Amino acid sequence: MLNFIYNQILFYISIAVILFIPGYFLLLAIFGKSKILTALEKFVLSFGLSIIFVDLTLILLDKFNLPINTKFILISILLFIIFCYGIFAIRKEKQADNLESTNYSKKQIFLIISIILFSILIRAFFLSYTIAPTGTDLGHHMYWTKKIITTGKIPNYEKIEIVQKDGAYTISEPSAIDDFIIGEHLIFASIGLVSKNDVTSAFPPIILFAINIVGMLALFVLSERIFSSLSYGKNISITVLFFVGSLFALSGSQGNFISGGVIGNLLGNLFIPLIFYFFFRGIVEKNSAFFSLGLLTSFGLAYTHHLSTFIFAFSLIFVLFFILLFRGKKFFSEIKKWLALIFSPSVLTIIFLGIAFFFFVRMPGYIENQAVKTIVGEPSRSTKAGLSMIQIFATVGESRATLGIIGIILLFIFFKKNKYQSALLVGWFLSIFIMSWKPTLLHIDIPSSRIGNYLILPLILSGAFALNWIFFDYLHVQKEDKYYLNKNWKLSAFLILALYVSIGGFMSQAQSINPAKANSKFIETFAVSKYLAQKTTTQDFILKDHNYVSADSWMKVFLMRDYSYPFTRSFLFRYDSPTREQCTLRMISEPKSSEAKKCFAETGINFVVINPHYDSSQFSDSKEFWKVYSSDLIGTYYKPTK
Amino acid sequence: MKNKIIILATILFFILSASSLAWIEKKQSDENEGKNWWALYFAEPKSDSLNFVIENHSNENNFHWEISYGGDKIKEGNSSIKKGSALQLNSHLNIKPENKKIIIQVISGDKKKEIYKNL
Repeated sequence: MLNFIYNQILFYISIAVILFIPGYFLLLAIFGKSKILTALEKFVLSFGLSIIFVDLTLILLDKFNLPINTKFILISILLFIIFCYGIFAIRKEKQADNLESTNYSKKQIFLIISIILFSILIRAFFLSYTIAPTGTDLGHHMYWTKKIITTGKIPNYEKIEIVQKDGAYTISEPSAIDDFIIGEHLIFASIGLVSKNDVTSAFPPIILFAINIVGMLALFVLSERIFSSLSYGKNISITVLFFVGSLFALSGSQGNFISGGVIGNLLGNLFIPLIFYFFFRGIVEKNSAFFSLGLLTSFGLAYTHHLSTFIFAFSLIFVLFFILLFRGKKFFSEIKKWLALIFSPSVLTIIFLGIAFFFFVRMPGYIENQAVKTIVGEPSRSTKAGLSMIQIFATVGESRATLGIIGIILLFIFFKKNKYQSALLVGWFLSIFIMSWKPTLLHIDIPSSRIGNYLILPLILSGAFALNWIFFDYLHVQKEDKYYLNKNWKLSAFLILALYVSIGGFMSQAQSINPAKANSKFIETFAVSKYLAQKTTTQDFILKDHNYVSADSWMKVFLMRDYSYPFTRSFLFRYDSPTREQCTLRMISEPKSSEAKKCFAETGINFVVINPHYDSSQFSDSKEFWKVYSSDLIGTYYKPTK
Repeated sequence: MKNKIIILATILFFILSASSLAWIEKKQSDENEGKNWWALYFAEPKSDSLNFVIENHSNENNFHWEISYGGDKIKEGNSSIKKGSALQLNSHLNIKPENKKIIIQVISGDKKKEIYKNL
């Protein structure tokens, strides 16, 4: 128990040191103690900027052949703190005390805290079923994280494969993988190193949990700024918090994201609102500091998640287009404003440092490997050819999509009231909508459903706007300062609409929470992994089944021999592809066949891990295999060389 | 100040729920806590050795084991293994290799498991 408490204290200190302090001091260096940022904004922005600082710093350490370990991470953070504090001390006198703060009433504060409590509780409830490290994607990511922790170096994203060449099967030399980006792993590695936590513990899902909570607050602070000019802006922000925190918490893929489904998407959902926040304030307030932070965060996103970067880039182009469109005759003065921002010293410094880092330190892997080409062009599969309107509504939830689209239409119609706010939401929504609905129009080749998930953020903002506009603007008689509907009718109508949205939201949550996930099957997979790590060497080759063996992707984390080690019999439908190698299928499904025998002989695979309830009879009938390990859910066979 | 209350509440709620989750995970990942399974395996899977291990994470403590060669039972015994422990059994057998299946079968409660080599 004492160990647990000590471990927890060290863990939270590590989170504070790595995920808060660097960003806080960066903001201190830039803005000093002026009140240009509220405390909540500082908290949220510090978190995002810290992730970027840690990512870029560890890449730099690696570039200069310095080891990535606890000592160097802490020294880097300390030096950065001293540097930032030095700048703050020098600039102290010059900073204006810009008083800007959001003042909520006591009732509103109570409501905000209640929503946050509810949001955290509902996520914790979901995670209590999936907190043990079992997610397939998380297993893949934690392999690389552990590689950084154990080697102290940034890994080469490579893997071996079973390939067929001239009729013979061989295990290839390691070749580059485009799917992973270093920024997804450095944060976990640094927290793992400083907190001394193993990747096969609760710490990775808890970090994702923290990212998700701060991502929720990022949307909240963004909404505070974009709706600040409206008299009911605070109500919109609270509605945004309710939507993103409670109703959208576990909707569809979001639930899986939190429990480790897709780390990059979760980071993208944090960074995209932050970047828009910085650029929005940079352009609206003509503030080059915010603009440069927007650039820095965009740069950090490029090293963290390619899909989010790509989608953000498209969204930004659309947003800028709509700003120019809505500005009408002031088109040129807007362009002049942007140029003034771009040619300011702080922005030019970030651009210069960014270019230097990009060319002389490290390029994002997907650019280095020219993987961008693979996502540009005509759709290569039906899943990339776009979603129907019904599918889009299903992806984001019918009630949310309806309300959100009403909000977008309202913003489009009444854009003159607030051009920047309307341009941001209309451009953000339309870019992602077109990418997921008609990707051919933009010439992109990415799974449409993955893009569709990104619609949620602009729809939350526009949906919250729509709901509040109806009740605080449309039904309100400005001159007489009263409402068309009497108080009771208004409240009833508001509750009915809120209930409609809520039911839709909670129904998809109910589908996301699957109690069947709360099991201990992974224990046996972890046990056999430890056994194989002890009893086999790099001369042995293992094949395992992904269809029926629980948490099988985590086996590689115990063995740490290659990203593809053990080899995998993938989902059976994947073997329908004519270009797919068939060895991994045959060696488990029909090990006595001549094709399978050829595969065993040519690849050198000599251990097979299966679930005995599904795949044991084909092995027990054969004299060529020894059954060397048996538990309720795991059977392991060894094929001795004759 | 009001903003700080929101931050403090968020941090407090987060730490409380994350700590609870860490505790739940600790229990879920414990091989013994609330679990009921056991494993049987060869101590040296790649050699001809027939030494085997029973690793117990179940509520049963009594294990009956049998070694049979070509269908004939040649050795058997009983072992008591506490939950959370493993016992290695060294089977010193003089067998002429005839490419027959040597099966080690272990029974505990209503569960039965076997491992084998062809020697």
